[in-house]
Amino acid sequence: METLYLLIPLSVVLVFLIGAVFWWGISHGQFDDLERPGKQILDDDDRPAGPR
Amino acid sequence: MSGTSSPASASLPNPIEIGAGSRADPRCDLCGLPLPLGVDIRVPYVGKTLRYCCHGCLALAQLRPQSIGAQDAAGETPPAIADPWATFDDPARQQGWVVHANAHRAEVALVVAGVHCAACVATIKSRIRALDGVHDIDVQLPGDRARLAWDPARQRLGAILEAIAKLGYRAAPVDALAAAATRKQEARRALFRLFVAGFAMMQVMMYAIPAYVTDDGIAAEHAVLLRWASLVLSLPVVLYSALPFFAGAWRDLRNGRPGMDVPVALGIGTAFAASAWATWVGHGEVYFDSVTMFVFFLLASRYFELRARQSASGAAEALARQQPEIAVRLVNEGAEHGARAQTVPVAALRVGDCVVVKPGEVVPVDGRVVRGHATLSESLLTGEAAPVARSEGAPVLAGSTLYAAEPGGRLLVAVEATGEETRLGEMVRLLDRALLDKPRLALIADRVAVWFAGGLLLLAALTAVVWSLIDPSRIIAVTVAVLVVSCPCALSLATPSALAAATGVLARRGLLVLRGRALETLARATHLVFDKTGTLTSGKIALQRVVALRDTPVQRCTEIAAALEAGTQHPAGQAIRRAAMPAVAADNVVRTPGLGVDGWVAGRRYRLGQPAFAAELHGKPAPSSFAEVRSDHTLVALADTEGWVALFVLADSLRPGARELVSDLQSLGIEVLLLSGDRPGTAHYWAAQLGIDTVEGGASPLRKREAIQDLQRKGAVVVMVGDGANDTAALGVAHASIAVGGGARLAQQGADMVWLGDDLGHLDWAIHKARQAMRIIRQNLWWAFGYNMTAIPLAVTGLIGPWIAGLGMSMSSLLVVLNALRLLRDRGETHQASRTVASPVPRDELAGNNT
Repeated sequence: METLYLLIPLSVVLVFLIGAVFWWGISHGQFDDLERPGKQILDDDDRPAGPR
Repeated sequence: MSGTSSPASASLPNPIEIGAGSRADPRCDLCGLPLPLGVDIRVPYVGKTLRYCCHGCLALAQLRPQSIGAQDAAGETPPAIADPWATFDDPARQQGWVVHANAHRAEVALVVAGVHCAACVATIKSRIRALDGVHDIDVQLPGDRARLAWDPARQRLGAILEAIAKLGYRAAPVDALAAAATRKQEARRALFRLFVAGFAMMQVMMYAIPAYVTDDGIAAEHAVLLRWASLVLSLPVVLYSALPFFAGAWRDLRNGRPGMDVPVALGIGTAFAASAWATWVGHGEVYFDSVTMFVFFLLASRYFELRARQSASGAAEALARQQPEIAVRLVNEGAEHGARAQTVPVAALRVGDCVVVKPGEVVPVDGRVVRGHATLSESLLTGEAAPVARSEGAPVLAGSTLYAAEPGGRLLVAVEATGEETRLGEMVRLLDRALLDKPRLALIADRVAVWFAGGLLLLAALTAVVWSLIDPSRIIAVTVAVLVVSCPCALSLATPSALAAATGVLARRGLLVLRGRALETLARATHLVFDKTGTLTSGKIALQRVVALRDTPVQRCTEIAAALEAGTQHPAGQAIRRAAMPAVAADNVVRTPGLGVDGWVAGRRYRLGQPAFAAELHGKPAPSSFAEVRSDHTLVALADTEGWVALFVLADSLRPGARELVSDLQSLGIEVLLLSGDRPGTAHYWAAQLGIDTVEGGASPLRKREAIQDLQRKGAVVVMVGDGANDTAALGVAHASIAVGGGARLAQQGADMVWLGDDLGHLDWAIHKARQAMRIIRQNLWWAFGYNMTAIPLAVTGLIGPWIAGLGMSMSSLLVVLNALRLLRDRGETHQASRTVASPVPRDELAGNNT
């Protein structure tokens, strides 16, 4: 059972890590619009490919 | 402005960076106000970066030659202003959002951040209305909008805004762009708060389970470890996720008006503090799982509410959101090669500018097509899905989506109106106002909600005292349970959400509800009264035949009639005008609504209109040819002082969906009536076509009004559907009124609702929706009543612990919010398809009649 002393603090650290990843996602607009980007592939886009 | 000199089709570097990061306490470089959180507008200027609090400031700054308008000219930075609120009194700044009704009344639409509950609304209303020179302030609960009317001669706008700020709310004039940026930031923050609470909750639950499942408890040293881990994970939940509750509670306390945030914050705070203390000293109960779960579910219901509010619930929000924030302006559009394109905020556009719209984009302004032709969807504005074609010189409306444009796949639009001046802006403004005008049920809910929180706090205090006598060890558990168990959400949250959702769904289909109360009336309607002209029929009547009754040639008769009808909005008049070129002019024209026109053409007095009206001029009996006219045709007679001159025969067609509407309404148990100003024969013809039993033709506006009042005396709830122009009297007395065919003057029609679309078939769907909305509000209120009546006594007697209380409260609020959001579901698509198929039938029959 000594392993609990490692695993439980580890789980706490993990929660904070995942929280940080999620924070990055939110602040980069990953969750701003959950509908449109999925449909974007269906839009006509006649502009030439390449750097915009 | 650092516009580039590339052609418009190339992509443009955006001179305005809108980013997310912000430093500590930055201030706007124009007005000196602190930058609102989440708003980040920067413009590079002579080696440094200027920042503005809103796009209004940015637009103003660009207009000033010494500021960033001319980037390479070395100018001075605008001087800092001593009193930041004074900038709102600057007439130049007020222009565009302050509407002056007269010298003693000005109105402004505000965004008030931080309004959560009915108590907030009550606070702002009572404090601000008490200020000298304030006529009125109306605050709308979902949407954070407020409308302020004040006397500019007696009070400064800046002082009023400062007073609102002192109450703890942030008020600023509505600026679509800044509001959008704030909304986005708000949604992001809410999502992260929810995530932190949710993830921490899962983990804390995991730590709590061992203690629940083992019979003889877990080893003491492991229990301590789990408690400390729970404490570490609960900290961010309480300190970050629950921050809005604490902030709200603090503000409520300072204002001396407890809202629902106070008991919630008190519950969270007490439970957490007690648990942390127990962890520190090593004995006692811990409630970390209850705290995190409570915060998570409460945030979840608030998040749903926020999402719904932002996505579709507020019709005004949905419309406003449709307005693009950035437009591409063309400078020197005359020269093909010298033309430069600039990306500018829509707020900076001026009348006469030329903007470029590409397919798939939304038109940012009201204007006219400069060149070529285009196909656009105006579904947002009219609810009609079919695209419309617009060629050179034709008007285009802000909010319509461009499908295709020729030549070159670009549409050039000359700006005629921007922002609130556009038709879309007008719709948004009217809808904003509508939400402030609440149905009776919502008013009751508001009143109860204000007292609810205060009563609950008293009850919690009482419970604590009583339990200190019964069992002091359970004081904290029971008091926390009482604080968190009650759920006034149906009052403070779900009722406004339901109303907003219903208005939003209706607006998307083309029915603008301009007075919130109308929704309730629509749901209770027993009689629907139609005015024939322009409501049941398409209103696109055309001149079928002209019968000259004297030696005057037909051509001349039509010219005289067209001159008399010049400038009329009446469909019959417009049809006559379309048939002739205006060769002569009429003087002394007097219009009698519902009857006709009287006027002088070429030195002779004429009357044009209903035969009875025209006959008053000469008193001769109607010639036999009048009786030969088919009853489905409208008859307009032209007469002078000597006798009859000519007879105009006009024919109309049914509106699509009119017939189905009548039968659907009748199956709903609503009696349909037709009160028409047309000849009885015409009215009866259309009534027979539609299956309407109660018909009255030849009704004057006064007669219509009397007929409606008669019905009302018998206890009927009358909804009047008219075209707004000559039915004002009747529209006014009906319980609710719907103006069909919005036309150009939405606001002046005085109707409670405006039907923008063409297909009347949606009207019975609208009644269904209104009934559903009222049903859902009633359900929520009953649920709230039943739940609180059961749960509060259970909590007071100590029968349920804090975690069940928290779960019950959160689930109850989720339930009412989700129940309200059912209104957003729009299952009318198949319904609409059946209309489209069915509509040609009456048209074909009509064509048969005309031949």
